[in-house]
Amino acid sequence: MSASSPDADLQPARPGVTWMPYVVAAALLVALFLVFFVAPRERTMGEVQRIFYFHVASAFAALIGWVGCAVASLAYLFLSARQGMEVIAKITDRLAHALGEIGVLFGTIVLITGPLWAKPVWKTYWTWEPRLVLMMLTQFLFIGYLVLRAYAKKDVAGRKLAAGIAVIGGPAVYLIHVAVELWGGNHPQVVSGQGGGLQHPDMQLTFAVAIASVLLFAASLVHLRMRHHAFTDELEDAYLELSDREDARS
Amino acid sequence: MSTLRGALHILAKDLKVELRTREVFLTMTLFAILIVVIFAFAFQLDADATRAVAPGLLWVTVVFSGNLGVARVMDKERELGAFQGLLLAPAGPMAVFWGKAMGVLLFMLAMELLVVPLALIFVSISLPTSGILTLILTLFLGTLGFALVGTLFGAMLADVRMREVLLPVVVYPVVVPVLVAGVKLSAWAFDPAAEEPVGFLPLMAGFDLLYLALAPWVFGRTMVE
Repeated sequence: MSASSPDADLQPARPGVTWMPYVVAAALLVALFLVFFVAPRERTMGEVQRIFYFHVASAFAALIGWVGCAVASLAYLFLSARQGMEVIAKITDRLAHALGEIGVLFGTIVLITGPLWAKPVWKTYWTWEPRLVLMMLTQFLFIGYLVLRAYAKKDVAGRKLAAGIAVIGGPAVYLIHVAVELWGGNHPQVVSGQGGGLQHPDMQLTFAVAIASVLLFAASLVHLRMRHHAFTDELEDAYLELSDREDARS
Repeated sequence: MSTLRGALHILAKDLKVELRTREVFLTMTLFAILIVVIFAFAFQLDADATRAVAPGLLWVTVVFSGNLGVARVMDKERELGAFQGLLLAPAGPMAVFWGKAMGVLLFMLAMELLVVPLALIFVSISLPTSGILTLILTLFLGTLGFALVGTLFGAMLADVRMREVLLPVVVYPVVVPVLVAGVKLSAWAFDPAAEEPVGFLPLMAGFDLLYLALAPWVFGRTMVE
């Protein structure tokens, strides 16, 4: 930000994509309508199966968030050392932070909706099954990332440390997946296999719309959080500048 | 070559300090023995229960006391900004990482050399001769993987508030593949007549190779201004 005139500091906030929330709300409402009024009742699992549509969609969003956070952090660590790449590096850092937050948010949704489904179907809220373990451990890892990133604030060294955690965590997510798969389990293979009971075409339509709307929701949240982080950075800069000026005056 | 020489210098320094204070080794070993004893009390071990619990007990001991060891090794460098001094040394940051990682690995292996036989005696499980090599290989590969990730995160978090909480929160999820593979392979070492657990040894070796490459890179990118 330029500091030539006092008014330059009082620019109105840049408008974001203001139509986004309405589109997202509409898409989620359509998905909800399909889930509860169009998709047929599943034969063996009953009504509780309807939670699948948002459970699986949230799992997609969480995994995309986490993997994206690791990739963006890798890019940040690469670019932050390059001359003339400072602006892009800052953006990748904010992107990684926002994706990490959204990964943990949807991870929480997955870890709440999963047990709600599992209690009537598996007769237990929790079991030490590969996918569940993967989800929970990755959640821990990225909560650690967020805590570290929250401490860092404007401190570049702290931001790099958080990015390092994400870069190490990204491939670990895959290795944890391999480890717990070798271990064995009974989670439904909704996408790769024929589990989850999505045979009816209306179910498949609902599933597709639910995934699309949840991913759209996640994307809009990432967008909002990135704006938020950009404003927070600017605010910190402005605050430092202000205190500098006051020091100069006195 | 100077990286290796620098790393060996740092390792020699840590070993010299350790030989004088015995701080890390004693902390880790006493803690590890306590874990074994508490486990033996908590689980009322009979012969069947022992076979089920022993591999897990072994690895819980390794990663818990390993975490403690990493924290101690890094804590020493925190005082008076010693870490910054090391990183500024002409040997370069890679020498610091490798020196520290070798130190953590050696301390952990020394602890295991004492604690693992003790643990086997305490819970009175027999280790067949054909399983000894499997157990040693598993412990070495697992400890190497843990030392790499632990050293990296320990160094990264050395100056962070709440590092005592954050270190295990980020280390344990990452080393879970090592833990799972270690438990499966050790169970097989105790009972070689059982079916060989397929795929866990490559998983462990792959983990080690990946972090042998990735951990120093991340160290260089995050620790150096």
